[in-house]
Amino acid sequence: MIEIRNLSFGYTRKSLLFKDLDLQLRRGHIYGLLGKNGAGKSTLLKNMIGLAYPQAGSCSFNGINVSGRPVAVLEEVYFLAEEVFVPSLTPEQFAASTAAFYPKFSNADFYQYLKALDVDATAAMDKQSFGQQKKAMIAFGLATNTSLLVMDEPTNGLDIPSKVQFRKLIASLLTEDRCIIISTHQVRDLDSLIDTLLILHNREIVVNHPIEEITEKITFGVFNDTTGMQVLYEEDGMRGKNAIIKNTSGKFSKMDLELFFNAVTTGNTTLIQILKAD
Amino acid sequence: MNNIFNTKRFGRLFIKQLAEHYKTYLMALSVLVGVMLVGGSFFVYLIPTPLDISTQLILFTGLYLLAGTIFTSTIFADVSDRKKAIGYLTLPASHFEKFLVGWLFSFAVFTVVYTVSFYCILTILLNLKHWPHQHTYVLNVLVYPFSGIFLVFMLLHSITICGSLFFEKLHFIKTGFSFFIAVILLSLINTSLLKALTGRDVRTATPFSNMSFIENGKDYWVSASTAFEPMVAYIIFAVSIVFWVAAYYRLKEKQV
Repeated sequence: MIEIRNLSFGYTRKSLLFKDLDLQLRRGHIYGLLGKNGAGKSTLLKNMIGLAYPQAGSCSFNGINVSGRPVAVLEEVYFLAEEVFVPSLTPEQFAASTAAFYPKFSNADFYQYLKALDVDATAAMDKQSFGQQKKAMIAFGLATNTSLLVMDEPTNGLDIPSKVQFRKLIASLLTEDRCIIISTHQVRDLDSLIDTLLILHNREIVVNHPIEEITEKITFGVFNDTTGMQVLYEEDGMRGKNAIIKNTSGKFSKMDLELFFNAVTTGNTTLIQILKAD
Repeated sequence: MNNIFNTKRFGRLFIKQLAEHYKTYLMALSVLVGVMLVGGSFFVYLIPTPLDISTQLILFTGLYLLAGTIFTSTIFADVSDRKKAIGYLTLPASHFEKFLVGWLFSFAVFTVVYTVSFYCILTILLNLKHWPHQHTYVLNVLVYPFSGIFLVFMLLHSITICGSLFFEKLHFIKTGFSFFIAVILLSLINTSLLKALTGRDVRTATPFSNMSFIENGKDYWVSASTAFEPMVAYIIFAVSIVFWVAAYYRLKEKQV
């Protein structure tokens, strides 16, 4: 669905955020994009949807180059920015003026999502709190039924019940024709939601693996003593040592996204080599 | 073609622009009408005769150019605001349709609304007082030479719409500043060219204006024949198109 080839991008020519970056994203997956502050997560998302133009290389959606923002691409893509802007309209007025631009928009879905997220369809959006505004735009974005849904920090500003609802909605939305990309700092919000993990570090995608594949190769656990174990990475925790070890037993463990992210971004090459090995 | 222009989509975009901005537009219109009414009443009570054609023309032109350029400088302001720009640029409509909607609102719609408002206020003002034995005249901006004002606005509009897309902040001020700097530079170049062509010490002259100089203690004033007026109109039209095209491409290239 999304194909990025040799992408180089930087806000100035001298300092590039990405250099010769390659990435392929397929339908039927929920991708979680992680990276440190300033790694370029938002910029990468903007390149994917044509909000930023690469200095070299290309980014295409279903074979169409996204640079120039062709309508055929925009009709199939919805981007939810970290900081949303809402006009001085109610959600239902906004849908009435904007929904027609998205060929697969469903009014029934829109009202259902508004209800699930506890948003009043008849209240002016610009008079609402930031969280309510964001939820209204999330409901609209989900109701567009575009085949690509890109969300940058979607849970920022959402209260705990809304985060739970959001996760439920996203999980229920994935179809074989749809691709969802979520970028976030709040790795816990992605727990049990994403099926493929992308980590952007040092101008490249260092991890692009399904969660299942990761947990097949490595194990996460809390241990009192890790002596004698094939420890790939460990951190002191409240209940002992949170560690990542090579999975030799063939058993699956629950992935600790935060621990894994820390291991990767501290430059743990052994871990990455294990993941890359067939 | 569907990726460039679609009538249905364009119609939707036009309605969306209206739905999201009509409150601001109505407020701006009421301010404009207020200025016309208060300013015009001041003139009516100050001048003992009915407003003559030249006063009407000055009022129409001054307010038209000022209000029109201020409004035009805000038409693409959303594109400079990162939060607003994301929603605007990712909306499934072509850049051409987006540009055309902005152009229509700031040029065509504004001109019609402004002209209608002006004549409504003018009718009120001319009937505010009774002038016995004096005939009142009403300016007709649609006939030559008064209609030339629309050509001037066309040029200023194209420059302002360009500025609204090229500058990130303070669009009106920065465009105005750039415009005057450009006029000064062009005038200096033009004057040097005229000096070189005529071999006389000509006074500073803006492009396409008259030329004046002193020779043997006499003041000479050289103006182009009226036969050249259509050519000047064509040049203004061509320059406006160049600025509009530049603005369109700037919108196309816009990144967030």
